[in-house]
Formats: sequence, C-alpha cells, structure tokens
Amino acid sequence: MNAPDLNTAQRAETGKHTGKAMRRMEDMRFLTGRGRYVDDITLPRQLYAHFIRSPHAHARILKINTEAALAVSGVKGVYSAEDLHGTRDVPPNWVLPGSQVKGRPALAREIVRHVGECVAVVLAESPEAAADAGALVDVAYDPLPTVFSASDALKENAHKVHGDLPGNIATTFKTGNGGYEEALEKAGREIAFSLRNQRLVPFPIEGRAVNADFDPATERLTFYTAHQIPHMLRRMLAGALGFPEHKLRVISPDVGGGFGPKMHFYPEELTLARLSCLLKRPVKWTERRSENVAATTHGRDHEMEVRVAVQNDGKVLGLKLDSKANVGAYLSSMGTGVPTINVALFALGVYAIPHSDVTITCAYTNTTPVDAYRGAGRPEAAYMIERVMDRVALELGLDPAETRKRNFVQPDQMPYAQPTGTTLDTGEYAMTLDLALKNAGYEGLRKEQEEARKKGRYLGIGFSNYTETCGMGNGYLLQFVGFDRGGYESAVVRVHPDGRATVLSGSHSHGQGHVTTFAQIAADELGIAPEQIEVLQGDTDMIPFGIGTFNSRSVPVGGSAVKVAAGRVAAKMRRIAAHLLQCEPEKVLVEDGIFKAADGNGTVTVERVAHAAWTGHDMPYEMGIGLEETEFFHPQSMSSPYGAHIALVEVDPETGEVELKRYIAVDDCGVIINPLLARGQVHGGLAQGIGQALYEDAGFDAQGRPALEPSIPRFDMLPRFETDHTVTPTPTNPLGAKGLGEAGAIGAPPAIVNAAIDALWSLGVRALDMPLTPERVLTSIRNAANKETEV
Amino acid sequence: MKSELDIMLTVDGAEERTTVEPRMLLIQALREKLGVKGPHIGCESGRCGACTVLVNGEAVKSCMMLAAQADGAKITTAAGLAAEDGTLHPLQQAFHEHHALQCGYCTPGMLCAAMDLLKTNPKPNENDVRQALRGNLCRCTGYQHIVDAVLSAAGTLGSGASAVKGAAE
Repeated sequence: MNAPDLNTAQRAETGKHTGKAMRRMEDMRFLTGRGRYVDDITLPRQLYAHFIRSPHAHARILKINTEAALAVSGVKGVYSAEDLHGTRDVPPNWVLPGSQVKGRPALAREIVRHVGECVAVVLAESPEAAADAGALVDVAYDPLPTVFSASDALKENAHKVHGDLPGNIATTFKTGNGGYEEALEKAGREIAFSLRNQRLVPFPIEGRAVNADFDPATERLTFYTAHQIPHMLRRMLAGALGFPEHKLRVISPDVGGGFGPKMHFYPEELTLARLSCLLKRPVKWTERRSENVAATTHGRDHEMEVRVAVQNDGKVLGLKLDSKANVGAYLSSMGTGVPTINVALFALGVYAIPHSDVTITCAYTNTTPVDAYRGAGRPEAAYMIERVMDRVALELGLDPAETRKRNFVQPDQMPYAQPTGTTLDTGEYAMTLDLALKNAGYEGLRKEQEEARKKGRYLGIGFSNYTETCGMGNGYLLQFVGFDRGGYESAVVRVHPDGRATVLSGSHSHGQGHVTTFAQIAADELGIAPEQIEVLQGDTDMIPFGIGTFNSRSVPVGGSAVKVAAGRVAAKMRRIAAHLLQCEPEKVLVEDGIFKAADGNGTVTVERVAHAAWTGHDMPYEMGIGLEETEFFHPQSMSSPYGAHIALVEVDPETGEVELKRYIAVDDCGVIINPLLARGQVHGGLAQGIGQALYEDAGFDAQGRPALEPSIPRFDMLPRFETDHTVTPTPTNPLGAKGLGEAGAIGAPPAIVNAAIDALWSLGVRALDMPLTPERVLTSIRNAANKETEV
Repeated sequence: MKSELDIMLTVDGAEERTTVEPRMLLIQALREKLGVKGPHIGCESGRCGACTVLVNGEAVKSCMMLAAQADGAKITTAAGLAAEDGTLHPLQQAFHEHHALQCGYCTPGMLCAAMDLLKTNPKPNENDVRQALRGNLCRCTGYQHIVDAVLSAAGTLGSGASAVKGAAE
C-alpha cells in the first residue's frame, strides 16, 4: 500500500509564478474594512425598497390595502403586479427539452405559491420609511392547500401547485444503457435502499443586494448587483425587461460569498429595474436574512431509491436509480437542468458499471425554488453512488477501499464514456485512494476501531471517491441539453506603455481570489511580476461577453482564456524585442521584464517593447500597433476532478451524538495554480459538505416556513482538515487544471454518513439520513433494535 | 413626531457627531449616518457577527446595540487597526499570510472579535480560538485558516500547522 511521494512525483510542471502559494493581492482592502459591496453604494436621489412577502405557502391574494402605508412620511409609492404590467416572468435559463416551464413572477399575480414570494414593494426616501410603510401594507389572503415534498407532489390526487399543470411534473429524465434486470440475474445479489439529500439554505454571509439606476439623460440602466455572472444577468434582465441589452450595464463589485444562488436571476431584480426605469431614480434593496432564507434559492432536496446488482466479490454489474427532485414553486435559472443532467450523468461515479437505468422526475411544490448550490447535482449523485459502495462492502464483509478498487474505471480506459452520458477525461483513482489511505494511516485506524469496540465505543470509517465535472463544454453540447449559454470564457490581456498589464476577465470572483491566480497565470506568459498585473472583473461595459463564475469553471476556462490571450501578447512582445535586438524571435528570452537574445547580445526592457508597440516607433509598419489580445476560450469538453476522502467518526449510542474526529481529503483537480488558495477552496467546500452531513437543514415548519438559522457550522463545529492532492492534468485545457471549488461539498457528505453507518453497523443500523442529528441517529439505533427483536 | 438624539462617537480615532432616531442600531448609525462601511450587516439578529466592532476595546455585535447606547464611546473597526503609516496590525498581517479570508465580508467583524480574544487571552490554544470566535460566522473558509492566523498572531501556532504541502514559496 505504501507508495512514497505519490504526491510530489505526480505534481505537474508549473511556472515561475503558477504553482506557488502567492498571498492574495486583493486582501488589503478587505483587511482594512475597505471592501466595496453593493450595499456600500448609495447614489444621489436614492430610493429604498422594502418587499411585502407572502407568509403563506399557497394562497389566493384577495386584496392589497396600501392606504396606511402611503400615508407614511417619505413614501414614494407601493407597487403590486398590476403596476408592472408588460413585465415577463423571470424565466429559467436551463430548460431540459420537454419541461413544463413555470417562471417566477416579478410580483405575484392572484396566487402566491411559496412563503417569501414577493407580493408588493414599497419605495421610500429612506430604508426606515420603506420598512415602516411595509409593515402597514395589509394583504388579505385566502389560504389554499399545500404540498411540500416531491414524493407528496407526485402522488395521485396531490394538490396542484399550478392550476393548469396536473401531476405537478416539471420534467422526467431518463438515461443509462439499460439491462439492469439481466445484470441482476448475472450478479445474483441485489442491494436496495433509499436516500434523502435534504434541502439546504446556501447562506452567503452577504445576502443579495441591488441598486438599479436608470439615467433618463442617456437612457441607460446601470444595475449594481451582488452577482456571480454579470453578463448572463445582463442578457436575462434585458430580455425580461424588454430593455436594449447594449444600454444595460451590470456592475457586480465585491461579492460577499455566492455558492450558487448569486448566479440566478430573481424577481426582485426585475421589479427594481422596472421601477427605476419608471420613476427615473435609483432604487436600492438589501436583502434581510429572513428574506434570504425564504426567497433566495435553496439547494438539493432530492429523494432517491437505488438498487444495485452486485456479485459476491463486490463487483457491481448494474445500477437502477429512481429519483424525485423538488424544484420548488417555480423554475429558477438552472431550471430542470441541475436536478437531472447534473445528477444522472454522474450516477455511476468513478466506477465501471456495465448496466444502468436512471430515471429522475422533477416536481413542483409549494416551497422556495431549488437551484444550483455548491456542487449543484453532483453532490446528490456522489452521495448515492458512494453510499452504494460502502453499503456493498458492509453487506459482503469486504473492505470498502478494496471494493472500490474492484470497481474503478482504470487509467488505461481514459477517456471513459459513462453510459449515463458523461465522459471522464482523466483519473488515477487507485493512486489517489492509496494516498488517502496512507495519509489516514488506514490500517492503524481499523485496529483503533477494533480496540475501541471492545471498550464499548463506536468508531466508524467512511469513504468517498467522488467525481464531478467542471468547466462546461462547448456550446453545441450545452444546446443539446437545453442550457441557454455558451461554455466559453473571455479574457483581454493588455500590456500598457509602461510595461504593466491589465487583465479583463468574464469570470467573477466572489472570494475565490482570481485577482491573484489570474495574475500568476498572465505573469508566467508575459515574463513580468504578478504585482505588475491588475485583474478586473464584474463590469459589463468594460469586459467582453463572459459566462461568469460557477461550475468550478473559473480557473479551467477563465484562467485558460487568460493564458491564451497573454500567450499571444507575449509572442508579439518577443517579435518586437527580436526586432529591437536584431535576432530571431525564437531566440528571445524574457525574465522579470527583461528581454534578451539567447546568444547574449544586449537586452531591452518590457517598457521599451511596450513603448514601441504603442507608438510604432522603430517598428516596421507590418508589426501593427498595440499589445492587446482578446480570447474567448471555448473548451471542447469538460474536465473531471475527483478525490478520495476518508472520515473517522465516533458515535455515542446513548446520546446519538456523532463526533467527526478526523477528515482526510485527497483531491485531484489537475494542475494547481496556487496551492494556498486551492486549500482554501477545499476547506470551504468541506465545511459546507460537513455542514450538510451533520447539521444543516432548511427546516420547514408545518406552514412551509424555513428556519431563520439553518445550523450553519461555527468554529467549534468543524475539525481540523487534513488535505492533500494528487495531480492528474486534464487534456481539456492548456492549463491542465480541472476546477476545485465544489470538491469538498461533493465529497464530504457520503464519507461522513458512511462512517456513521460503519460505526453502527453491528447494532443493525442500515438507514441513516442527513443531517446526522442526535435525534435522528438515536431513532435509527432504536428502529434497528426493534427490528432485531421482531426477527 | 420623531425625537432625534444627538450622539458623539469616536470612530477609529476621529470624533463624529450625528443625530439618530432612538431605535437606530449602532451598525446603522455607523454605515448610514457616518459612512463607516467596514462592519457589515449579515443577519440583524446577533447570529453572524459580521457587524462586530470594538466599543471601548470590547467586541460588540453592533446590530445588538442601539446607537444611542454608544454615545460617547470609542469605536474601533477594522479600518482602525492598522498603524497610521498604513502598516497592518500583526493580526491583519497574519490573516493575509494564512489566507484567512476569501470573500472578505465577515473579515472586519472577525478581526475585531479576534482582537478582543487576544486582549483577554494573549496565548490562546486552538480550542480557545474556536470557542471565543464561535459567534462569528464565515461561510467561505471552513475556519481553519482563521484559527491558524489568530494562533500565529499570538505566537502559539504549532510549527507546520499551516504549511502548504508541496508548495515552494
């Protein structure tokens, strides 16, 4: 098992700046309280908005009485759906072909379908006046029957969420190559169980925030918003508003965390843009936490039934998945795509399972719309297949690591087309698992477990060998699945006459540190220091059309665009330098801003080269003017990051408490641009994945109202993480980088639940749902005990 | 109808006078009346700690205190931690070195909470830090780098705890 220095041996070659743990250049303003977030921006003649929201999960609006609200000093007006006539519903942007589409109304018309839905909005001269008036808007409702879970919504005779849509089905998606029954016959053994991926509240510490500013003089709308994808928002907003896209400017300044929900287009955004155009004044709204948990999109909420056909040696021959996804009351931006494509395609994980049969049904319910949240579908898939692997091992009395090795897709099979529809580009799964086993001291852990059991303590070890996909592939493929976006990313690289450089990127950092990593990438190409490079994002007037930050795509796609554009600028700089040095361009070397001929005759500085480029002085006419290149990097296909995670837990069978004692993660995201920032991404993902496994739940009450605080992990609720990497470069982009932002959130939940079940297996516990609250664990132990006595 | 109160605050060394409604929270007075945008609003209910400032040297969640209660107080925010010449406070420098911030939204509050901890317990261990800062939420970092930064600033970080494996620096 000992494979020394797997990690360093496999580390791919990087440059002078890439691969280094450079400290972030953007830190200074945040550390000194000078970050600039949307709520920090107040404009002249500012109006403030306060939304009136439904307290009911389903109700008819009888009357909206605004009289008392309008009497409050400083109130400009109270607006409801009829004041916005002509405004379209907020449409989804990813619609699987054949879906029944119900977009989110800007303001509810007649019926509200989830708690927190916008019914009316007050605009006033101060936030206090808006809130005071908001409390006086009197809405009369007639409550209607409700349905909250996907499985209830799909029952015959379920209440209809939308009156014209019987059955509440948004879409049904099927994939796989079939043949499960034959596989079962051959394998001779079936393991079947159900799993639940609970609903989560993403909870960025900064909620959403908007400042919509229509200028009647220029007839331009400047739209400040805390967002992950400024250009896509511009397109979606312009379309719904009927506003010319070229006169709409989206500015997303510093963004206080995103995790998915800030890549969507929301009713509040449409309403505020419309009202700013109507009143010709800037309108500002900052989401309160109570609004955030009820109206900003949620994640997951997926119920699964899985059956696998397995041989006695642990080899899985077939998988059958029947799954129900809750999309909420309306389709949000990622619509029916995330719960189907992003789950079903990855249902077989990193395993060569010959036969599969996957069906996913998406159901409307009277709940907050569900959309992409860190991992977006891949956590649901990984949770299922990784629970399967540990379950197979436990049922057959095999080691879970060995069971995985018997099922892994092998390196010589790459690229490997899974019959569910995804292609794994790279992966040396056994190598990565071996490093995790080594870092965990696995043999010792099993001994420790055995010893502890003798003393009546219940330790458990759980595994997860997740995979996912990052950096969406080309536009043609996206069109095929109904995803109305391109899969490229933009970059402009401009070297100024003083030798410093600007990088414009269509990606948009909301904490990831692009200002530093993209500067490292450009610096290696240009031969200047990262500190001489400024990376700018988040302003659609300044930056070429981009797709934005989600799907862990910023480094693999956005970073690749920077590398390619910078490479072209660097090539021109070499041609100019060669002309000045009177040598061949191939002979020119550059380091630290100094060009020299390989055979040593003379040097020129980057400033000299840049001056020549921007003036044409000393240059032949054919050289052309300038040092600036634009790249729309468009990958052919996606990359497949993966990892091997191991969790060690101790469960107290008396109290039901689960203590996460150790968490060992080995991730493979291909080439790493900045190991320090990469580790930060892994930590953040793990915190959210551990949060899902142990603590978090949207926690609807009987009326369909989510909890104000869904148990977000605090300092004392998380262990110290043990992280490491293997490096298997992807051939899908010139960096060899795969993406890492979502890895921890995908890998952690199955590892931890598997560990808890491993701890309690001898007590007969088979079923255990997240989050692993003491109450739920105790119930599982009791149920298992009752079953034993029945037998 | 409204009775406004005159208050005086010393914010990061500068004396500020303003009028506030009796119900106005300290965080609102800082952000809206005085343009002090470092402390942020994350929950308005004392759960997240993004609004944490030092009031007369003690960490206070400024959404849990009325502006009028702070009349006459000395308020320090993240903007007031660095030296006059701009040199970062060792705690700020440690946050930078250990990559203890990502989106930066919780950071000003986190720094103030950690300042309070280091004042009352100059040599904390990891558990002390995790207990003392549990009132401040961060959704980006998973906390480990923040813990390392605080221990490092206190000089109690064990060697190797924060080394990035495989990274030549």
